[in-house]
Amino acid sequence: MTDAVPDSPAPDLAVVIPVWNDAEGLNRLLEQISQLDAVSQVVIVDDASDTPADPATMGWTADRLGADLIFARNAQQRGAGYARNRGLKKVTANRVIFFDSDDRFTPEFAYLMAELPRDGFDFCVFAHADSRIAQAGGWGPLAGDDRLWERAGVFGALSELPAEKVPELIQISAYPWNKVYRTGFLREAGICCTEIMVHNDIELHWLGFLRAQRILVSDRVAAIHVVQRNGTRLTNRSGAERLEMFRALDPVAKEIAKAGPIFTVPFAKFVMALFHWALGQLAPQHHESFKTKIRTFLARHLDAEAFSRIAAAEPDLAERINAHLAWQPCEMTA
Amino acid sequence: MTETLPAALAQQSLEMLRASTASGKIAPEAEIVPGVRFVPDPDAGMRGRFSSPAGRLLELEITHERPARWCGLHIRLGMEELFGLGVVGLAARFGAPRALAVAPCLRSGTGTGFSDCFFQKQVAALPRPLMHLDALETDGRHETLPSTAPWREIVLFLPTNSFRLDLHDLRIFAA
Repeated sequence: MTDAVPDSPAPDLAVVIPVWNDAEGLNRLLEQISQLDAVSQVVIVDDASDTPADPATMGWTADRLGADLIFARNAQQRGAGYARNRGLKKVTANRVIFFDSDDRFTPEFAYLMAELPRDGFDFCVFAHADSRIAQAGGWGPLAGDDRLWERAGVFGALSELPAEKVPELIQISAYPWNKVYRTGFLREAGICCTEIMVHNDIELHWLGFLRAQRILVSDRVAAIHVVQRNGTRLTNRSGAERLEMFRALDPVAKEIAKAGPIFTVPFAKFVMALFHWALGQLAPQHHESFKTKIRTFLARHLDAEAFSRIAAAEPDLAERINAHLAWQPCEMTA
Repeated sequence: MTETLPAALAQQSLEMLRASTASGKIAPEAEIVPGVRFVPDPDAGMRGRFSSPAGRLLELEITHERPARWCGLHIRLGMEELFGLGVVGLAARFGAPRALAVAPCLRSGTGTGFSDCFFQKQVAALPRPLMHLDALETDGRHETLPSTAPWREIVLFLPTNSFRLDLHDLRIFAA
């Protein structure tokens, strides 16, 4: 009555970990990886931590880890995007995940890797839990992502994401650590992180969805995103480095324009939510400059046809876009 | 709460499912692992497939050609004697793309057939699965739960229409 299922083959997954001043988190993550039996290679790129986060000084060896261990250190801080790209170049495994030193795998991750094919897919996006939701007694992502998962209607431990669901699920937060990529896909499609201090993962996420031929999806909650309120991690940054997000958004916007009208509204929703969130994060002295950049970005990438589509589908969103387009910096209107 | 030996048989079957990555057609009355079987209404023309993802129990896709009177997933319990126990309970996490309810009961064999004692709450299967917890007290308050029975099962009464249901986890305990 049952179909035969072969035994799980040896692990074939690289974990690329950018780390900056978080030796403790890295040590904890390596401890977890050593128990997963799902990882064949770990590539750590220290982004010029004050004290090098060298796994060897923590007593980590390939034997203890149960995986090849590669360590590189940037001479100066270049951001997680550069660190991830540097790490990706060293990957020899057929599958790769970018993971942060302060995040955690769940037991579901090993099950996911046991089922994930080695080939025949471009990437697999999986569900995650956010520590803020977990602290409140829940288990899952923040409400916005939760709604997108539900609307996409993807279900089950592992299935193929139908093409018509891509415009929905592409809107989830652009995290790098909730996807297992086929290494060859990233290389063949020329996809990497933007080498900026924050929002470096937008290109990786959006271009991945846009260029993939076959996306797998899993409702397994396979990772926990740990957010320390008021911590020093990049999520909490409020400086001018956020203004660099447009270096990531511009290439995505160009590709969206080529990808067809079905992506116009999802991308507009994403960028407007990102702008709103970033304004809340950004120190007040950068607001004017940020709004100027938003206006320039919207004017550059939204033609009348695209704006009409947005207005028809999401009038409120169009109104918010219009407010940005109509806005003038103080020095120009005085 | 300490799990007692009587529920171990069911836990063993469920553990086999968790460890299994089997898949296939659902055959009425045939065990998919020892102690776990589907019992559909024979007049309803049930067709279905199951798969057992690693670490999870079952993903089910079931259709009925005609309206069904029942569709049950039976898990052998082997807990003939309730003496010395206070509760028999279950913890479950089920998911479904369209919300549906599963009615669990503790079925006890009798001299003439069986007797069903339903748990007070049905298990809600939702797109984002939630933990469900319920227990039956075994102090004699339920007429349909005899203290001694030749056999017992947990029966999950599944929807009688066509549905997709994922059983992420199920734990049965007695103490």
